[in-house]
Amino acid sequence: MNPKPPLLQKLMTDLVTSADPLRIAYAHNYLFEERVTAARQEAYEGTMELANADFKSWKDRHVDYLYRKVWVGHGEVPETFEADNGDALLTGLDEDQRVVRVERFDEALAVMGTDLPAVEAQRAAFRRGKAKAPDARAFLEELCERWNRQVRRQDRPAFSAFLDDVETEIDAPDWPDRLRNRLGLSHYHVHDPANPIPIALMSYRVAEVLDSAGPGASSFAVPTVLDGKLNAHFFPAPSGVGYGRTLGLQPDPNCELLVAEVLHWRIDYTPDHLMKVGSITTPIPPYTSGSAFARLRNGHLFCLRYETDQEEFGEDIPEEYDG
Amino acid sequence: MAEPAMIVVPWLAEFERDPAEAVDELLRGVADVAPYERAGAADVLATLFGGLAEDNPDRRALDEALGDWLFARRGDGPKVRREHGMNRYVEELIQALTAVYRLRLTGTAERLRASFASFHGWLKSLALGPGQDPALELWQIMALMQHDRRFLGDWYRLCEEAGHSLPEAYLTVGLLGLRRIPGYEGEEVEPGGSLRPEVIAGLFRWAARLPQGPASRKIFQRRFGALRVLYPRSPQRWRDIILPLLEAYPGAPFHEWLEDASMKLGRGGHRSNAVATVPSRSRFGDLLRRLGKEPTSRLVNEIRALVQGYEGYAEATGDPELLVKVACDFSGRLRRRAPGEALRLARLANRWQPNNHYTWTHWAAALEVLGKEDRAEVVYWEAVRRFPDNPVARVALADLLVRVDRSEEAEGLLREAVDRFPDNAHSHVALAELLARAKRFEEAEALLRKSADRVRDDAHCRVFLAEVLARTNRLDEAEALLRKAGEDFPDDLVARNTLASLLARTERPNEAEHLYRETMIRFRRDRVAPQALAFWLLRWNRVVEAEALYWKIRARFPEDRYTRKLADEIARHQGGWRGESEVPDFAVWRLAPETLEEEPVSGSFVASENDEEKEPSLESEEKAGDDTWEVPLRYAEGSSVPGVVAEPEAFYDAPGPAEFPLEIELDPRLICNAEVSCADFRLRSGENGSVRRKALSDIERILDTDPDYVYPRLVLGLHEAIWRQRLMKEVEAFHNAYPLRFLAARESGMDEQWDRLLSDFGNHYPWTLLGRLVAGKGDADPVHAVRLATWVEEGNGSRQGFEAFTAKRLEQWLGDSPHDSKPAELLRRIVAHRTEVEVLIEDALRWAVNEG
Repeated sequence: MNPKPPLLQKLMTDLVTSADPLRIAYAHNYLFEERVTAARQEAYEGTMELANADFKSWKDRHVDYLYRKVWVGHGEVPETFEADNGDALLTGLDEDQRVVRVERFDEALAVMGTDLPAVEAQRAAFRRGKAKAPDARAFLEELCERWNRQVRRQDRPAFSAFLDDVETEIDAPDWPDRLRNRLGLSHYHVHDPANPIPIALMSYRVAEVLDSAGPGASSFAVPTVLDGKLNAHFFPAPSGVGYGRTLGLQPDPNCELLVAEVLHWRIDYTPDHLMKVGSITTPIPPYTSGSAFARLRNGHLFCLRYETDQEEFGEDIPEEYDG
Repeated sequence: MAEPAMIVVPWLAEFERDPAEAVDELLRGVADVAPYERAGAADVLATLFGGLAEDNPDRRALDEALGDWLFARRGDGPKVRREHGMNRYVEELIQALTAVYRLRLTGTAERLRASFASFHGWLKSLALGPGQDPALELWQIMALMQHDRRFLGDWYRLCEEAGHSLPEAYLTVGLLGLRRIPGYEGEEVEPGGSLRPEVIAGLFRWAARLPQGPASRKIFQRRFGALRVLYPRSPQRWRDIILPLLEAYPGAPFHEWLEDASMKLGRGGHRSNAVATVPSRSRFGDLLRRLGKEPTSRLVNEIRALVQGYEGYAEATGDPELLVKVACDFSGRLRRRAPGEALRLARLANRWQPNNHYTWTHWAAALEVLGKEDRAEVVYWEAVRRFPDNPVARVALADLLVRVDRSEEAEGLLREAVDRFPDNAHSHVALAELLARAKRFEEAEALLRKSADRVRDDAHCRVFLAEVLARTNRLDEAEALLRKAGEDFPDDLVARNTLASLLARTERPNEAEHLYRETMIRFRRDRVAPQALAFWLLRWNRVVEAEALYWKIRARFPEDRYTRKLADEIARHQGGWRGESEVPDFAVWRLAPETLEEEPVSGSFVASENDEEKEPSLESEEKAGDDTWEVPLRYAEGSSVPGVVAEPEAFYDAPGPAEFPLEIELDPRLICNAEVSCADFRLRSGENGSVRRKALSDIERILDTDPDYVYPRLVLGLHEAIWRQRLMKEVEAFHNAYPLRFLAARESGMDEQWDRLLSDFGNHYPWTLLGRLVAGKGDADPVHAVRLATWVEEGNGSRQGFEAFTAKRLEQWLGDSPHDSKPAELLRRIVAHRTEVEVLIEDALRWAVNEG
C-alpha cells in the first residue's frame, strides 16, 4: 500500500529509515500489504488525521480505526468480513477441517473464580465420558458462557490456524510454549518465570464458523495489516498466497515452519471446543529486537519469496543495526 | 552471527520514568509495548506485574497510577467520550478495571470501595451491552477483593435480579461475591475456602424467579452443576445446606430440578446447624411487651441480640423480609426513647432493602428526632425520588419543612402529592392541615369538601373537615358530619374519637364519656380513647377515676408521651393543684400512615410520629390485656403518686458496638441527589427570577464537578430547552442512561430512536411507549397504545412499587375493555390524560436515575 496522506507518507519514510528494526517492521507491514483493496485503504486513510508524522499518533488513529471498524460490538460485522475487504476474503474451505486457536485464559478463570487445574480436571472428565459427567459439562458450559459474554467483549476477528499444520506442537509435552513459538504469538512472552501464562487451546470445525456467521456473510479472511494492532511480529502474506503466514518466533532456515493463518468470524465457545489447557512457562526466543529481530523477519521474508516465487515481494531490514 | 540480545520490554523503562503516563499510554493502546503489541492492556499488566509481591514498589506504583487513571476518567465528560468513541472508551475502562482484580491491586480496590455508589452509577450509565458493562467489572472487583461483609445484601440482590432488571451475568458475580464473602469476625474461615450456605441461598434466590419449563431446568442445572464442581462435598453436606434453605420455597419448580440433578433430598434429613434459623417469635413478643414498661437501657442489648438473630437468618438465606420488618418496627418504637438505636436499626434495614420505602422514612425520621433535620431532609428527598408511587415520604418531608419554617415549599410538595395521588386521603388531609394551621380555613375547607367527595371510601377527609368546621365555630355541621361518618364507617376510630372529643368540648360530658367507653370496649387496642378520657376526667375533676384509668392504660400499653403527661397531670392534682387540665391534641384526624399502603405488609412497618404507640405486628397472637380493663396487681400495689411510680423514661442513647456504628453522616452522592431534587422541585413549582436562576445554577455547579452525573443532567433537560438540544448531541456518551436516552428520543421525535429505546431498555417498556404516545400532538401511531394495553392486560413485569403504580394508572386511563376498543380510541384515551401522563413519565425518569 502506498499511503496517500502526506503525513502518513512522511511517517513511513521516517520509520523505514529509522535505526530500529521494529520501527522499520511496522512501516514494512503497511507498505508491503497487498490485500487491502483501494476502497478499504481510502476509508482507512480517511480516518488518519495525524497531528504530526509521529508513530504514536499513527498508533492512536489505528487503534481508533480498529475500535470503530474491526473490533466491533456484538451484532455488528467487522470490516474484515465485508465486501470492501474482498481481496482478502476466503471462501471454499472444506467445512470438515478443524481450526485451532490459542486463547489467554486467566481473565476467564478470574471471572469464573476458578483455576487452571480445576478446569483441566473437568475438561478431562468431560472428554472421558460426556454422558457420565453432567457436572463437568455444566461447569464447562458455565465457564464458556461467562467467557463468551464477559471476557470476549467484542466481535473481533479471530486469528487461527489449521489443526494438522500444528499437530506436532500440540502433541508435545510442552505444547503451550511450542505452539506459541510456531504461531508467532510474541505477546505470550513470559516476563517472570513465577508468573506463567495460562492458555486454552480451542478447536472447532470450519463448518461451525460458517454456521455462526449466518447465510451470506463471509466468515474467513487472510489477515491484513488493518485487521489488528500494529505489530512487528505480524508479516503480510503476498497476494499470491491464499492465506496468511505466521511469523514464527524463532528462525526457520529451512522454511519448514510457515503456518497457514486465517482470520475468522467469532464463534461462541462450547465445552466441546476446549481441546487443551495449559501454561506457557518460558520467555519467547530472543529475537525480538535489534539485528536478531531483523534476521528473523528477513528469514521469514526469504521463505515467503521462496514458497511463492515472488522475489520482488517485501524488503529486507538492514541487519547491521542493533538497537 | 551475533548472539541474540536479551528481551527488553521498553514500556517498563517508561513506567519507571513516569508510571502515570506509561499506564495511560498502555490503556489507550499507544504505548511502545513490544513484544506485547497484540495483547490487551490488562494482559500486559498481568504478565509484567503478576509475579510481584504485594509490597513490591513497582506494583505499588502501578496500583497508584491505575487508580489515578480510573478516577481521572470521572472528569472526562461526554465530549471526551464521543471523540474517543464509546466502544474504545468503555473497553479501556474495562481493561483498567479487570487489571485491578486480576492483579489484586488493593489500593485501587479500596478507593473504588470508598466511592462505590458514585462510581457504580457512573459506570452503569456507560454500559454498551451485557458484555461491555464496566459496572459489572466493578462488582467483580468487590466480589474478589472483599474484606468485610458489607456487600452481602448486594450479592443476594444481584442474584435475585439477574435475568430481570440486571443481565444474567450478574448471577455469576453475585454468586462469586457470596463464595468469597469473609466470615464473621473471629470466624476462622478463609474467603472461598469452604462451601457456605450463602452461595446456595443466592442460587435459590435466583432460581425462585425462574418459570417452569425445560429451558429453566437446563440453566438451573448448569448453574448448580458448576457449583458442585467448585465444591465437591458429601451428599449429606449438600442436604445439610439445601434442605433448610428449601423450606423457604415450598412448591418451587427447582425442587424437582435438584432431584433431576441427582440430589437425593428425600433421605437422611439434615442436621440443624448448617443454616441459621429464624429467631423465636416469642422473644420478639416478649420484648414488645416489656418495651415502655422497663427502662430502654435494660432492653437495648436484648433488642440488638434479637435483631442480630434475624440478620443472621437474612445473611444465611438472602431473605431479609423478617429482619427489615423487625428492624423497622423497633426503629419506630425506639425513636423517641433511643433515637441513636432507632437510626442504627433503620440504616441496617435500609442496607438490606434499599428498595423498601419504609426503610428510608424510618431512617429520615430517626435523624429528625436526633435533631439532624438537614440530613433527614436529604434522606426524604431521596425517598421522594426513589418512590414516586408512594406519598409517605413526600408528606413527611412536607411536615419537616413546616417545622423548619419552609411552609411554602411544604405546601408545594403537598399540592403535588394531592395531584399525583388524588385518591389518597393522607396527602389531602396533610395539605388541609397545613392550610388550617396558617388559618387559611376557607382553602382548607374547600379542599376537604372536594377530597371528601372524591375519596369516598375513607372517613378521614370528612373527619378533618369536621375539625375545620368546629374550629370555625360551625359546631352543628361538624357534629352532623362526624355522626354521618360514624354511620358510614362504624369501625373508624378516628371518626369516633373526634366525635367524642367534640362532645366533650361542647359540654356534653356524659355523651362523650359514653362514646369513649364504648370505643374502649369495642377496640381494645385503641389507646387514644382511654387516654383522652383520662384527661377529660381530670378536666372534670374526677381525679381518682382518672388515676384508676391511668393504671389500666399503663397495664395495657407501653408508656408513651401521653401517659407521661397524664401521670404528671394526675400528680399535680394530687398535690393540691386545682387548675384546669389541658387535654392534649391527639391529632386524631391525622391518619395512621399505614393506611396509605394499598397492600399493607405490616401495620407497624411505617415511620410515623406515633410509632412508639403501635401494637405489635409480628405477633398476631399478642395480647394487650383483657376486655375488663382490670389493673394487674404489680402496678396497683403500694402506689400513690403515679408520676413517681411511672418512672419517666430518660432519653437513652447507648454507644453501639463496633459492628453496629451510629451512622449520622450521609453518602455525598445522596446529598447531591437531594440538592438536585430540591432544585428540580423549585423549577417545576413555576418559580421565576432569582429562585429559578439559583436552582439552575445549583444544578450546573454540581454538573461542573461531575459532568457525567445523570440526575442533574436529566433535571436540566426536563426544564431547559437548551440542555435538551445539547443532550441530543451528547447522548451517545450516556448509552445506558435511560432517562437521558428518553429525553433525546423525545426531543428528536425520530421513530428510530424510540425503537432503539424500546429494544435497549425492555424494563422501561411502558414509559417509553407512553412517551412516544404523548410526545407529538396526538398523532402518534395508535399501535403503541395497543401495545401498552396488551402490556397491562398480560400483567407483564413486576407488580410491585412504581411499576404496579404505573399499571394501575394505565388501567384507569385506558378505561374498560381496552382489548375491545379500536387503536385510535385507545390513543385518544391516553392523550386525554396528557398532563398526568407527563407527570408520570417525568417521575419515571427521576426514578430510573439510580437503577442497577
